Amino acid sequence: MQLVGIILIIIVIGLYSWWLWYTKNQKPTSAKEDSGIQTFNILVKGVYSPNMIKAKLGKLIRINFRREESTDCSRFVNFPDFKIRKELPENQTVVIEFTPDRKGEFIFTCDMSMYQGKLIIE
Amino acid sequence: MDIKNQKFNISGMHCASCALIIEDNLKKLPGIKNVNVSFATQKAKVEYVDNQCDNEKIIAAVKKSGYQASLMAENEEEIEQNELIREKEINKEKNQFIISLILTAPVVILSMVLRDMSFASRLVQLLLAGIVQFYIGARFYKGFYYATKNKTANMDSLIAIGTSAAYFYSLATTFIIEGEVFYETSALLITFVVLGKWLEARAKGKAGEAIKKLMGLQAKTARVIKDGQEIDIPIKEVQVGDIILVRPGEKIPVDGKVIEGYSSVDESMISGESLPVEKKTGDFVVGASLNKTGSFKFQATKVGKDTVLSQIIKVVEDAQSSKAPIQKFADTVSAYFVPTVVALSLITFISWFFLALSPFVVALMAFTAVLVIACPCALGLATPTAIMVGTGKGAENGILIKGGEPLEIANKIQVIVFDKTGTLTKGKPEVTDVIAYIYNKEEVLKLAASLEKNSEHPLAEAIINQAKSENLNLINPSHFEAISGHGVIGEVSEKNILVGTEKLMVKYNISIESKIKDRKIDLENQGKTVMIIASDKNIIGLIAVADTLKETTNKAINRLHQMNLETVMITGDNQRTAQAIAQQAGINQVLAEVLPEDKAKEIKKLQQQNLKVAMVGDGINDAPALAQADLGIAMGNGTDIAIETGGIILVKNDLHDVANAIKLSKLTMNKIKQNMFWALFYNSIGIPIAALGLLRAEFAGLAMALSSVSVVTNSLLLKKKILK
Repeated sequence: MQLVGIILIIIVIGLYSWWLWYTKNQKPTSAKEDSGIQTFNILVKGVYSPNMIKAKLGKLIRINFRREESTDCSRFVNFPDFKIRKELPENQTVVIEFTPDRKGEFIFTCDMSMYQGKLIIE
Repeated sequence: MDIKNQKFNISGMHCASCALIIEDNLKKLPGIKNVNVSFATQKAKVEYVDNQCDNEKIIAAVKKSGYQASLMAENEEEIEQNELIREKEINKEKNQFIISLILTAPVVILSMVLRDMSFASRLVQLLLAGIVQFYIGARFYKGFYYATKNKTANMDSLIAIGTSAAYFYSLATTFIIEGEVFYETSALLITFVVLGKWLEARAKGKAGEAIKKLMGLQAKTARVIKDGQEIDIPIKEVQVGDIILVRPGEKIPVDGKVIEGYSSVDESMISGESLPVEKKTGDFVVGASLNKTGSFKFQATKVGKDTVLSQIIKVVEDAQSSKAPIQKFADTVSAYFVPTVVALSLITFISWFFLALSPFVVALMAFTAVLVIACPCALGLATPTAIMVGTGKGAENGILIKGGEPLEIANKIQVIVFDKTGTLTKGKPEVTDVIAYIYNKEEVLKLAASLEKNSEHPLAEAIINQAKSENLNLINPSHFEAISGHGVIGEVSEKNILVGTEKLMVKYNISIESKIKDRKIDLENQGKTVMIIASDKNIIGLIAVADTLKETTNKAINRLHQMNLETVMITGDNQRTAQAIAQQAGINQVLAEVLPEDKAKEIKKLQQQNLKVAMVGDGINDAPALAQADLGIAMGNGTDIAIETGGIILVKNDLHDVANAIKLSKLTMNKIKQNMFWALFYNSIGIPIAALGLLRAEFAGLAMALSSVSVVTNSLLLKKKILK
């Protein structure tokens, strides 16, 4: 019985490690070009989907956020590095536009940081 | 037929019947399709046929009924729309909690009070808890599903797994296996979580009130004078150069310069200054401030996004969307939190059941408790809510903190460097002494003032003003050159004239006799700035100028010393003058004879001594020094704020606000630290307690729900703190 327990604990640790590896090696979603604008559609429902997006430096980014849930946690989306905070009313598409001026990885989060996404600028 | 929908702000309504009167009168207008006037919100919604009626007719009809109406601005509509949706969502949370509570109460009574374990009781509990689990709890399953689809886990995952474990185990013991039922655990858990979400949504709304308040300050219309006619136009149609009439009791719509009339204006909403400010021709007025006594006309100089109010809103919005560096830690923890807790809960279960050989139900309850006690929300809310309340409180007091970073740095400042002119002093220097050698006093003053005519230096202004007050006729210089930090040189009436410092004289090989030097030292010891006037290589006079300290300087500096902060004065004045002024102000240390372009270097020198340095100065001339300092504090003058420079902007020109800003930053940082500590302490204590099986799962859930509410409430307490 105790051996089964130890094996199960090892399996849990293995799964957790796999998840850490998977999160680190996730492939970002690239933008759709819409008349020269790098466009993304992000669904806010339990998580940001997609939660990792990749865009090019110096070109306008348009992110269409659609929040399809009523939980208050996800009501605001923040891009702290670009000083953007937008309210996402339920079932409405909210457009966020800006031109990235530096390369790097920038997170975007809800007010509580439970919903997290990453914007990669190359 | 083109139907238009328009909303209006209505003022003057005292009761619901006023709303009915307005509705009746509007309905009589041709082309009106529908009218809805709300006394509660002080707004009217009108639907009309576009070519049969217009906004002006509607406003006129409201006026005729004895009330005032103005168009609602577009962004105001958007805010109101979002507000309505938000209220609806908060109400939804409340209703869900009430339904959940009503359904859970009998389950708790049957299982915990009556301890009725009969099959019938179990069936009733199954049914009621089932509704809570799958109707109220549907949102958690949905969130769980979407998170799993994206190969991650969120708070919904924790609650869905935790409550499902309790519910489905009870379902099994009801029909298949032997054992206790735990329907009350799953139902109470969901009820507590929904309660927490409702309370949290309400509290979070309060934390973000500052922006709404600021936006609400904006006037809706402006009374513009065009072709001799007074017309009310929506604020967004006002253009720079428009002449606007403001009557007593009205809000000043945009920023501008008074061209006619006299009044006192309440600017407290913008600058935090409690006393009304006198306004006469030539003075600047700020949009959203309140005209008190007289009527006046002013010319619009800034409209739309350029007004002081719009800039304040922008700064506060930016600040509230920024994060303090301390938050990075919380973000990292949050990113790994939920999957880690899931792993820990599984290990808890395995340890109890397989290693400690405890009954299945004990392992299951510990597993559930670990899942539901963990709360990263409190950690995530710790910083943003405190920043929101802190920056909002600052804005109400004329202190604009640009974000989390300046807030965090303000807390670590050890030395505050003050620019002298205009910051410590009134910035309006006056000539106090004219000492003449060779020529008479008038001639010395006339030659100096003539040369200074082309200079923009505040000292030049003092000399010119003195010459004007003595009715001296100034001559245009035939040559003029300003030497930064030294003075000016040029040609007046075919004489080579120099006005400036001792360094300037040395540079041009002009020797100064010892008796002139002694006189100069004597004046400087009185805190006066002395300029030497030379003509064709001879010293012809001295002009002493004094800039008096502001009334508040001494007390403000004293307050900073009480806060254990070092103070330094930086100035272009020579050491003696600077020392005398610093002594009057009560400042510890002096950096004198610093050229304007070298101020930043002096700040750097202080930083090299491992000191955290704040620089206080005006946002334009001192911009490089403000940027070099760890914290730049830019002083505004109430009607203009330099938004680009400085981490903190003081709207009104009051030195007390330096201490207030530091105090507010400290208070806000303390809140952040308290919140962070509480959130971390809660989780690091809560999870082991739950894992050891010391806490019933439903109470673990209640603790979780209340932990984030307590963090928001703690942040809100900042509103009650007194700055002065």
